[in-house]
Amino acid sequence: MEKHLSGDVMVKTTIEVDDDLWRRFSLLVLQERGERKKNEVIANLLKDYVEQRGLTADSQQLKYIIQVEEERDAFLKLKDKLVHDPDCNGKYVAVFHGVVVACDEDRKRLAENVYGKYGYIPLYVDKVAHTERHVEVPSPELAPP
Amino acid sequence: MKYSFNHSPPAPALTVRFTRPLSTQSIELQAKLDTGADITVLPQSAINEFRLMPAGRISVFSFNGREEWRYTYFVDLSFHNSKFPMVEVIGARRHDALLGRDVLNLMKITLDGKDLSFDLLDP
Repeated sequence: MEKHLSGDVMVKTTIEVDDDLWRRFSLLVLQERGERKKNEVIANLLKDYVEQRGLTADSQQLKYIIQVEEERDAFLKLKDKLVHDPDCNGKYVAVFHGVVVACDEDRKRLAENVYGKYGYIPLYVDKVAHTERHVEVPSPELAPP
Repeated sequence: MKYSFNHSPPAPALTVRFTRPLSTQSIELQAKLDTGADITVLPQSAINEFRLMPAGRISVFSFNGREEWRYTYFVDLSFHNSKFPMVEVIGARRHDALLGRDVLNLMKITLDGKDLSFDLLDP
């Protein structure tokens, strides 16, 4: 790691990409941006990818998101067992610190009870089922001028 | 209520108050009624500013079939005389909110496109 002039800590990494794709990418960057600009273009692509998904740069919020990912991992590890548990199967469960702290048929009631008991904390709520939950938000909108 | 002319064509929209759970911290946002949305959507900027706690992650399909993962958050929601506690929402890069069918299906809604007006009742 090294510190950039902007004060940001920079990291060096290595990735594997298709040779043909890399040559075409290099050619495009050379034509459009000039010599030695691939790094800059890739860094901007990464930045756009993260920002489009709204992942916060706020370190505290990021910490909560990482915690939720850990709780999700714990849920996925427990899922097979929970599916075979008649008390949990088909219900929503809340995972906190790697363990199921509550389950309920009603997602809202579950959240109210858990927040009421533990405070407003990052947790992972999901339904115990064989399938994953998907939602649709299909309305296309024109971008503002 | 009249349709909002901030959209073209005009769209049914209203002011909704979103409150952070277990607090009095709240924000008012314009929300468009979106019968196509399975879930209510908040501007990501409001989620960040509000410091809502993530409570899950789900797969979201957009109009072109593209799938994205989004974090979910619980938030209390109110408009007119109706209150909806612990509504699960997702964030998106937009300025207004979308009221999805998770909330709309709890109400009686009449859209009058000819008159560009709508009624929203909690029977």
